[in-house]
Amino acid sequence: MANIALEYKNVYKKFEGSDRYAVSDVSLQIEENDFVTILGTSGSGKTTLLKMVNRIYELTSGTIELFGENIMDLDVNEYRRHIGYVIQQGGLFPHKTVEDNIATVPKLLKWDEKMIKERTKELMELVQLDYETYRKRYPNSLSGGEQQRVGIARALAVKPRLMLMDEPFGAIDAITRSKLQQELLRLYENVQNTILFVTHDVFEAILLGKKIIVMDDGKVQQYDTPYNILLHPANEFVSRLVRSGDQFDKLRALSLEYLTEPANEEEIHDGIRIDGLKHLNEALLLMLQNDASHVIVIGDDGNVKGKIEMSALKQLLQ
Amino acid sequence: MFDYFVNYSSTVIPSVIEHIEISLIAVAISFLIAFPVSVLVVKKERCSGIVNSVCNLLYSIPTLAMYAALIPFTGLGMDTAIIAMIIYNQYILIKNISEGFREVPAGVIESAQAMGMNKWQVFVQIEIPLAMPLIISGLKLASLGTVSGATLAAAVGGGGLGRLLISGLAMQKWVKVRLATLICAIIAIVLTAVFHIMEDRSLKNARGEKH
Repeated sequence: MANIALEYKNVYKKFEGSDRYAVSDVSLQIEENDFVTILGTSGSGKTTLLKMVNRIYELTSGTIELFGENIMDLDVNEYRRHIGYVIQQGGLFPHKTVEDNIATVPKLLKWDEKMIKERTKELMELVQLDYETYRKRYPNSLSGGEQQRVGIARALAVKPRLMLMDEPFGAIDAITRSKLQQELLRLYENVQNTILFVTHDVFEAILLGKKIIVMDDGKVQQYDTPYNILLHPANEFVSRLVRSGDQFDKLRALSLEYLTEPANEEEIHDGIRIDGLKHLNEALLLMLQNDASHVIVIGDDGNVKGKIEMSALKQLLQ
Repeated sequence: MFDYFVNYSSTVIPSVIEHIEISLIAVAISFLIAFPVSVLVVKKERCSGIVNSVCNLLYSIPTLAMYAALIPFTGLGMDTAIIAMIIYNQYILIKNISEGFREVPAGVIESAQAMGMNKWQVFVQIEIPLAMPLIISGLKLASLGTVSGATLAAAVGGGGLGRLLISGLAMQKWVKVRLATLICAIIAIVLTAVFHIMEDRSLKNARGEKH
């Protein structure tokens, strides 16, 4: 059992002047190094749920614990420095260079210059921005996608205990968004961090999340793996929400592991092979192209991980 | 006119210096009052209505009426002139400075807080630099208004270039009037140019266009 990174215990939030709870009786645990997406429509409470964690919004009642510590007991500024935060328009400081933006938290923590420089360089490489080309540029001279890369680098600067992302790719064109999503996943594999990611896009929630929190009316409707949310929606709302998207989007978003089952020697021998990092849509395509009833999934290490049956795909699409 | 300047430089130059001095003091004190009030207006929206109404009201009082109202309390002299200008400047300065702070994008401030900056750090490192273009623009308008308004200081015995103007008019010595007007204009033009450069720099800084 992994460590619990973040725990909500009976959390309520009511904004001043409002007579309804934006977040109502939320209790859930987020495991360390999990990538959890919070999915919901506007007004569902998804952003409120996120922003209570770094105390941009203060909770009304209940407790939130980070690695077992009540966040209200911690010094707010000190605490926030160890929580990465990325928002829609990046929230970059327009009057600071890319380099200075990324160095914000290290500077607050009074790292020495050399260390800051090294870390900045490292982070820019991580988000694939060339250090020499970009370090002296200002946010306004960057594209939306580049700005978000800087935003992510800035949030990762001091190896945060938790990353909070509020629709970071919401205002970005589809092609760039898809690229950034892939890169975020790659980054997640590399840096191993607990990520809480708010989105209203069903596809994005499924694609990125190891687990999804579906929010509506301030309450958690379901908190489960993408596979279970798609196949076993907990209630009418979740069912309607996930059905609202394109059926094939589900395949595109789900990684092969969800349907991978053990295969015997004969199946391995006969089967067409597919790279384990691909998604279910590619498995379907491969089966259709080759008129096959199954494919063999190959892991990173070149070993067989198992098979995926056409019948399992059919069941998923029902 | 040039001859007049040379011949009477011993009276003209002190007038010019005095004029600049009155203006500087007035703008400096105006700013020292307007800046905290603007911050208060922005941070506490509740205060904004009352502050606006008071500023509007005061701004609409004609200068001579303002002097008449002040003289019983402050007497004749430079103080009265300076106080009047400070009162007028509040309207312009508070309007501009508060607008400057309001225009700082909420997401930028939120990010700064979320990075763990304390209130003071957010204010100094983020809000002030981003509000600076409008702060300077307010200072420009206030300074220009003050330099021209300061000519009326002579009406209450305040000195400055206004004294040259008034005595020139009284004696129908037009060269004196022209000279004082010209000097006023030069001060205004120089001020405009200086503030223009500062505004431009702060704008480039705030937008991140420095190279």
